[in-house]
Amino acid sequence: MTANSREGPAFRIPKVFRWLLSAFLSPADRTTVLNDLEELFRHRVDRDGAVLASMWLRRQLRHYPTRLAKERVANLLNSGPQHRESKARPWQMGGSMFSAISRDVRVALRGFKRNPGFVIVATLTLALGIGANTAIFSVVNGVLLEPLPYPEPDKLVAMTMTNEERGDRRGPWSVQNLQDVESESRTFASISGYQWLDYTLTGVGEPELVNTVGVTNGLLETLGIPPMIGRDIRSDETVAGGPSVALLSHSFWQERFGGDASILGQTIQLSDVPFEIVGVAPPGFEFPRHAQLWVPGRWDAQTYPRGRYFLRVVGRLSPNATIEMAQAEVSGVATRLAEEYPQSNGSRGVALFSLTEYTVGDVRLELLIMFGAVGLVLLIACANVANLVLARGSSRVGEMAVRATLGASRGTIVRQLLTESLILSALGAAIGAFLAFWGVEGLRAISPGTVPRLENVAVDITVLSFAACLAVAVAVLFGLAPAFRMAGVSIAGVVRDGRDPEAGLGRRRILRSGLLALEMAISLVLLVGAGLLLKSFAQIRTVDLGFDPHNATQFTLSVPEPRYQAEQTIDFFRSLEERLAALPGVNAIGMNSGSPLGRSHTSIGFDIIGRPPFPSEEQPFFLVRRITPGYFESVRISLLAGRAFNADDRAESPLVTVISQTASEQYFPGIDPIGQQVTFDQGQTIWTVVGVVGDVRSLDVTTETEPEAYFPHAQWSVPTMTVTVRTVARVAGLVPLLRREVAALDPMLPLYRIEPLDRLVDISTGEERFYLFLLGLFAGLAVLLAAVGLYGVVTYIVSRRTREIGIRVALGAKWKDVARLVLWQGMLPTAVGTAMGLLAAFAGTRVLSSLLYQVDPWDAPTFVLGTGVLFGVALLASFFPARAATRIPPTEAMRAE
Amino acid sequence: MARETLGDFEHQILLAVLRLGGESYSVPVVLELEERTGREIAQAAVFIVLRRLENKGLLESRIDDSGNSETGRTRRYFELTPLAIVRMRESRKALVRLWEGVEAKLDEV
Repeated sequence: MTANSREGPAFRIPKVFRWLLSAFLSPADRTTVLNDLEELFRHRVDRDGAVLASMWLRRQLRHYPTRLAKERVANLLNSGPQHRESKARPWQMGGSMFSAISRDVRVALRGFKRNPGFVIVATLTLALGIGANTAIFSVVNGVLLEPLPYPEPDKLVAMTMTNEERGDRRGPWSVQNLQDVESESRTFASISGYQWLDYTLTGVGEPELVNTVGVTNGLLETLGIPPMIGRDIRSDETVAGGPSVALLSHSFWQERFGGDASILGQTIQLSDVPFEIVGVAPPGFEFPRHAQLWVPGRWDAQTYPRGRYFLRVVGRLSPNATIEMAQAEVSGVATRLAEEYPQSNGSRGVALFSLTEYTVGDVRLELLIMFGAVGLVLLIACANVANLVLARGSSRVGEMAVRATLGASRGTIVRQLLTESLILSALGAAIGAFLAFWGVEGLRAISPGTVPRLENVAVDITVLSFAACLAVAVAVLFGLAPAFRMAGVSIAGVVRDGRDPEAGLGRRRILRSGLLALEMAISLVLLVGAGLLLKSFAQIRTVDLGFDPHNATQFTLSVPEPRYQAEQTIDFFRSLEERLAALPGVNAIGMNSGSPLGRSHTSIGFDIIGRPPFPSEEQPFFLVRRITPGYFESVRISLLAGRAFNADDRAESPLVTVISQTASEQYFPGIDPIGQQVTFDQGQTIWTVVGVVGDVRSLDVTTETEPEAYFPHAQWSVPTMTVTVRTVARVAGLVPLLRREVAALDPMLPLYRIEPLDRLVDISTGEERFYLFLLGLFAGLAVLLAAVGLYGVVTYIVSRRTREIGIRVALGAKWKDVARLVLWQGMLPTAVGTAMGLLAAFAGTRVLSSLLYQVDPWDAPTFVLGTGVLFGVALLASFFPARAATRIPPTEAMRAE
Repeated sequence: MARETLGDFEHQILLAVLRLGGESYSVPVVLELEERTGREIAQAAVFIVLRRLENKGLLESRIDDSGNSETGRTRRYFELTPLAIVRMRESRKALVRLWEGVEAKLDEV
């Protein structure tokens, strides 16, 4: 409300009223209207008093916008030449451009009312194409385009250690290496190392394993995010003997502590260790993904030597530093460390990635491929609608010719036809936007956990703007060519060609056939792409995992270290193994410090006793697994030589290890590894190889196996173990039994990550399945749209050439000749499209290489199969109109117009 | 321009402008109509019809922000065009003819 400055009752005009006035009036008229209203208001104040005057003013304000709107509509409906040609007034409602556009809209809507079928088919086709594109763009936007939610995200880098020998560019750090870089770097304002920890929260409801992240210093400070309340973890709290403090995530604080405002200073028990809560992170902050708690990570040099690589690192560049400067600096440090510590750092370097690239780089190509594929589907939709417009245009030839004769310029007719296209496109986009909402929810539900930043995916204003721009582009794409074709019609042409639009308008036939060929070409490219992914997925399903995932259930347990020293840890897991083995239906029990297909791993370099130490660049390593004696049997890993662990392999027994087949072949080629000895600490502890087992896909299904070494848990314990329970068949109610047995030993220990082992296989192939589903869906949609388009065009051609067919039959043509004639209309564009599609597929399928597993992007059988499917569908789509054409009685055909 | 008949309210507004000397802005027109008809007149209705009449060529307008007006405010003045005079004459003639001999019937009803 804006008060008037004059004396007397205030002349108050709401801002919304001023805004409404400016929608209808020029600035000068708005001023005069407000002035007049105020003068009348003052007059009424003098005559009737302030109260009545105010009531009068409210009545005026209430009715003004409605009257202006009614006048505007009345002007639109009554607009004609006399209105366009009248002297333009500053306040004249609806300029000539506005009148022209509104007239085009009225004409278009009248035309659509006469052809509802055309409108429905065209709109739905466009809705499908635009909706699918909008849904995929929302993923691209949320995952790839939205900047990271941190201040100056371009200053954030992920730091990894590289190992050129192994071709690893994204390896973890060790604590000492990180400390050296931190102390020597001038290009970083802050660096934080972090790693997941297994902590169990007790004392607040049910014991629960919480997603805890140990950090080397303030992670929030590095990322530039201030805590919502309290403070971040300080560097001095991460040294040995420092206070145990914790920072909560906002969602964890809300869910477990009810958003208690007095949370600061409270103590929680994490694996039996008291931690003081010092802060709460702001809403939405979870770094790394799903983190619930951050605590100081106290990794002592003895337990975590320089050669033990496990930390992830993120850094913020100094204000004047660039990533190139930082790369040069840390590479220099890495080179010096490699020379100084060849055993642990030999052949290791450092790589820096922008945090954005590090976060989304792995999925960028795949998402862009999907975006391109769905764009191709939209092209097919546009081609279909263009053909529909062309077909409809045939019946409007006379109308266009008359308009042209009466003086309508070519530009006017094109503008009219483009307006029709824009309306169709806008309708399609509106429906498509609704479809996109559901599509996004569906994508979120089926996407694998490896797609990052899914929480950003939404149909927001950016995505809707994209849909709007797409609608305009689509309207031009499918509307422009037919518009120019139809605008070129003349009365002379119509008279010459009669009412048969097919006669004499050869360019229209070529355009139509060309569009069909384009649809077929695109469909073939998508078919081949989907076929390659399908073959790749089939290959993946045949991979020998090295273990049997059926009829086995897995869960993870973590014992708190203060209560469980090494001996207690070993006793606990041994007792648990015995109890679980006694359960009915249980075949075998085994435990592993890491799960098959578990993606995370610890690796360690070693030397072979009796051989000279390896050069640093050839330092061998194992993936390390701590297991219980029953493990190999529980997951059905085959024993190839020697023996597995047994109950005699205790802490006081000679140290033993079992290695994988790859480790045996790689590090002990040509000799029997049984009896060989290895060490990780320059001979302080020596492990004797007692067995060789088959390789297992430890990381994921498509990653080749790496050398692995298994160690008895009784000789090298860890607090967290994954338990595998193999049963005779699926046992109903197994999980409660497992909980009961664990609770019998320690009621404060939660079980987590409880799932069947074959589910792990599904999770491991989730990404491949996701992209296969999407590309398969797009290919199916493309083929369906192309088939419908082909069917429609051939049917249309038959209807237009019915008389010709009758004449041919009357002159002696057989019905099979008629069928051949009609089939040719569909199969010729298909053949041309197939040739184009094959070329495009040869050129384009290479981009799928990163998605394929042991399948050549130019796999001939897939190309042949795709071509066969396309031809089959095209034949089917052409067959029905051809059959219909053969059933038209000749006399009826001759009479047809 | 096609010949159009004057609506009732349009007629009243033209008459009000005529009474005000052939040129006026919307406020005196509103007040004149209220005084003559005895009912409240919406300023929006007057403003819209003034625009409509200008569109029909029966009025011409000008913006006056010269400060001659008492309040120093910007006003849009409307002036009758010769065509308006012609239309008003025709309209009056037609009304007078229709009223001839009918007035007495009003008293009988």
